[in-house]
Amino acid sequence: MTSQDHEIEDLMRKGLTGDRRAYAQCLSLLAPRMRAMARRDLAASQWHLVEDVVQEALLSIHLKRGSWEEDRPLMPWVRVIVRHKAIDLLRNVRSKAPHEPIEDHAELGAPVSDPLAGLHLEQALSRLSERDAALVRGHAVEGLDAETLSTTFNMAPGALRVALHRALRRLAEMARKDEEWKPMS
Amino acid sequence: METDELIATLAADATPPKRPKLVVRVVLGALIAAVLMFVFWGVRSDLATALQTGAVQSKHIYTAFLVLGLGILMTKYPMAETKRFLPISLALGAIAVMWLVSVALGGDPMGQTALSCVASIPLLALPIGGLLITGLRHSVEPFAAHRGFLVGLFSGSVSAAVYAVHCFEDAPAFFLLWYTLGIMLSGAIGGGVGKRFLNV
Repeated sequence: MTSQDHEIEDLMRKGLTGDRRAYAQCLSLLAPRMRAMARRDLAASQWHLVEDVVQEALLSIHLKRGSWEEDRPLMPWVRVIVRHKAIDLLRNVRSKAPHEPIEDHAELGAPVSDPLAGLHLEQALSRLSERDAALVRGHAVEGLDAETLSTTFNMAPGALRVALHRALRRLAEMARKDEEWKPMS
Repeated sequence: METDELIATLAADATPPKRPKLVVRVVLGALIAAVLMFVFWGVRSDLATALQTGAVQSKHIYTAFLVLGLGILMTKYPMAETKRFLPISLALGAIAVMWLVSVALGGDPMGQTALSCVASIPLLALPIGGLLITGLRHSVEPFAAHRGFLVGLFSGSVSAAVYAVHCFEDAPAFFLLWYTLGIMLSGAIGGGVGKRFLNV
């Protein structure tokens, strides 16, 4: 176990007691590690799915962080989640979207894609209700603190907190359901 | 959505983490099952005298043994890091041995309440299994059906231990056969429920 593993674990422990800065830092440190794991799980031809795997695994880590047993190492736990999400995503891609060679679509040009953007979660987000999607996005945009959001959504801070949590749960549910999931469209 | 944005959103979610709290759920579920048994099934009228006999004692020892064994299996198998087929093969092996023993013991395996026994055990297992599955929804379960099966077996064995206080059939051939069948049925239901409701 490396010293960074220990650092991430400490941050997660602090996060579990409600230290949100430590928690955010923990997830930020985890993300590149998870990216490396996802690359190992996916063939090089599937590396465009890496960010999707990372994002869904992050969502799962967040919703299920209470089940991490704090006396056990965190990384193997994360590893299981990443691997499972990679397998899941591959299964869905294979069954639902046959590979379309890009050469057949010369008119498309180079896709303007952000290597750190996850398309799958974006699609799941589009299937959420407008308010839920806005809640998730609103929090994602930097600078929007709880108070501003409270006034934008016209909700009490407590209600806002519950609404955001439910929106995230629904987002995870939607991503799992995978209705019209197409990786590159 | 970008990963950094997602992390910011997740960190903004101030809802405290949900703990599975499995021990609390098992105790609560067993209590509910006991109360249900007491109210709707009723404790056997001759319990005090029956407990003096070896056959009745062995019935309770059998259910207690299953509860303990499957309970250990559940805790020794908290996550997917462990091998996947060990618990399932252990559980199936133990149950197969019980079947063989019940056949070897002879006696009257049919009794008078076979059907109600097989139906009652999964019914009384519902509160325990339901609570456990609800708790496990907060945890990472890559082998959902498999975990559900284990939960079903465990809930079924707790339920059988509770039901044994009502049941007046004391022939080992009877309880080894029908209790085990009731527990297996609970396991099968648990597998289906787990596959549907547990996930990573």
